[in-house]
Amino acid sequence: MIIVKNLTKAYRKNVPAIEDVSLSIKRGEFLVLFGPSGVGKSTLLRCINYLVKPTSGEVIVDGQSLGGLSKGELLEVRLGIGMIFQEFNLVNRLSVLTNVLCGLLGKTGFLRAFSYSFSREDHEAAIRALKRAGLDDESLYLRRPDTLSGGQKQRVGIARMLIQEPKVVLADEPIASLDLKMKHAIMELIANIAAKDGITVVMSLHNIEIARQYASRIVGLCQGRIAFDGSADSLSKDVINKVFDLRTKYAESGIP
Amino acid sequence: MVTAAIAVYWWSARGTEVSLAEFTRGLPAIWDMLGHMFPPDPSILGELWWPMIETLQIGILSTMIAAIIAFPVAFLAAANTSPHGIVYFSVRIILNVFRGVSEIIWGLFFVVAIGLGSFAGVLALVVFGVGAIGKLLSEALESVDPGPVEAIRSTGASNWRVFLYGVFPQVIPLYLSYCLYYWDHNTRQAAILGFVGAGGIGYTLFVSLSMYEFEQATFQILVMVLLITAIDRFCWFLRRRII
Amino acid sequence: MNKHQQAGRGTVSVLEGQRERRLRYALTLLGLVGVFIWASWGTGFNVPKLIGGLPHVYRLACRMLPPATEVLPRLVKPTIETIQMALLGTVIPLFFAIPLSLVAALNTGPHPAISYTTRIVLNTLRTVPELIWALLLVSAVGLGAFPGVLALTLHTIGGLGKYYYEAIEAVDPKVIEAVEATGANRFKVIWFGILPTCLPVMMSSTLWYYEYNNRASTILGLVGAGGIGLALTHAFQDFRYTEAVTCLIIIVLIVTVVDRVSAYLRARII
Repeated sequence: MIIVKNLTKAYRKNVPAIEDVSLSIKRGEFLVLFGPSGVGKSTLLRCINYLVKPTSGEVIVDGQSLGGLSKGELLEVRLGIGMIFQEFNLVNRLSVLTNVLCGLLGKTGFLRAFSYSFSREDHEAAIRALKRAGLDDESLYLRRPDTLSGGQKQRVGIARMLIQEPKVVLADEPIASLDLKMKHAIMELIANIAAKDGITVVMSLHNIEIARQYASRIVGLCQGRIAFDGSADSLSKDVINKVFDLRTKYAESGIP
Repeated sequence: MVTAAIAVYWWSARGTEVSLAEFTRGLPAIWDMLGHMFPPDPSILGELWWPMIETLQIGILSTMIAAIIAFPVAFLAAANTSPHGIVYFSVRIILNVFRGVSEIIWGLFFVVAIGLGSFAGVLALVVFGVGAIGKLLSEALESVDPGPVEAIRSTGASNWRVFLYGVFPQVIPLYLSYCLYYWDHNTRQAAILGFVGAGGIGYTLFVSLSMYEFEQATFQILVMVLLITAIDRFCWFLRRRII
Repeated sequence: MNKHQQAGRGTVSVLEGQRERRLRYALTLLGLVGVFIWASWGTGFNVPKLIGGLPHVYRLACRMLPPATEVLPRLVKPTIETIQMALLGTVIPLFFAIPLSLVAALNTGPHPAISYTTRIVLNTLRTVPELIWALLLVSAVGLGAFPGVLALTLHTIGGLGKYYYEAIEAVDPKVIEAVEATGANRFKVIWFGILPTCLPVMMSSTLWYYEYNNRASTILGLVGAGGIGLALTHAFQDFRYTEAVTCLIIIVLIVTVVDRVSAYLRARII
């Protein structure tokens, strides 16, 4: 489904954020990118939908190599990839409902998008998405997101992702800003949706218990390279130490 | 540093002939003038209605036009939305020139160029306004939170849609705030622009003073103060409602 | 209830709420357009006139270039005068604005009635445009930089006074409480408790007013109050356009330099 070949991204010369990363992600997998902050998880995620252009290497999504696509084709691919963020990234001046409708901007007509008026079907889809994401209280829909709690905001973010009807979901530390109870609630929600709709999930986390609980496959990153790639069970304490050990310059790629 | 400050102060005082002696010499003249100015003569009120309205109109119209033009201009002058480096630099320089020169001087310029009347006043305030609002707005555009913008890009939206839904909603409060501020400011400037012949109450005041009708002038100044204060209050009220 | 029915019920109320909001926006927009048309009619503004006027503007701009450099020596004195006017016009008010603001602030003033009266005085001082103050003073004491300085002083006392008393009123009452608890008298509370807290804001406002006065002093010359504004007016009146543009350039330079200096001071001091 998603193939990453020898991906390297350097924001500054000679200081690569990720280096020579190769991954092959199957449809329906729940893959967690694991590692401490700053190790390159966010960069890797953003390369998958080309929000960040890699310095070298290839990203192939559903058979298409993203590097060779035209602007319009890339936008179409992005429509099929949903994304949720650590800081929720909602637009505070727009209503909750409009925030969800933003997910449709990839395919909304010119006039409708520019006059901020979506069709009735779009509105219905947005409401369905919100309810599925666990936000049943309709009085919240026309309110601005800044009055919502963290958990509610992430549900709006998930609804925005759902309305795209994506095949892939990229999640950048989606639970890091939530309290403990919410963490599990949101993880359950994402896991259930993914299982039901057959969505491939690529999520970055630094919380090991939660990663073990929900992931079908864990990829540990250390200093921009893959240090571990295997199922949640085979993640031993040794490996965790190695991944978090900043003194290790280059970790061995262990693919069992 | 304190000695430097005192030195500068003393030098300025010498240069502008400001000294206690000068002041005491001038005081009787000022007192004399005050005597001529009071009591204020309201007889001129009938003639003031139209210029007052004209002043208001100049203020409102110029703010509106400047606000409309300033938006696309700010778009070009912001580092993150400008299409090209050359465009960015040239627009920024133009904006600096527009706001560097005081509105009154622009008023003078336009009066000389196209003649007396409120039209010149409007143009002067528009030019200055585009410079001022444009610069502030471009700074607001540059400090937009990149998170939501990224989120909307990730849904596959084209650049214009990313702008409309990600960037634009974030700058609206600041934009409205600047527009209200400049409306307040423009009304005040519109009142003075009459001095250089650009219409409004300033012009009638100028005429009164030229004819040494000081009591009438005082009354007009009072009216001007009331008008500006009224708009000031109104702007505060609107500000709280909208933002 | 199946999914579609569920969504349908919610959609109606939500769409209605949206429709209501949209209507309000549309009405506001319509109102603004109406005001625009009214204001255009009153000021005689329309697009044909604008287009007709452009060639005139262009012609004037051409006559103003290239800037005359031979007048530069003559302009040195007015330039210095302008800078001095702005400096004095900001420094002298300090002696008046600080005590007046203490009176005008409700938490330090002797009596609310006195405070409000002071506020009205301050407001009048700052609302009357400094150009008009200058005009009045020129009529009283004659031409020159002196009335200019006086005009700026009056206006600035009003302006700084307002910023100062707002800053004083914004002081956290807990700070005042803390100083009072040490048994300090009124004066000490103000000197050690309130003023130090307001100092950053007050300095910031003062610097801002200095920039403002600098701009103002360049144009006070219009009414004869000295500085480079006077030279500019004379140049325009005598049709010496290239000289006028030189004055303009100097004005822009003065303003830019002072703005930079002010920004530097701001970073250093605050």
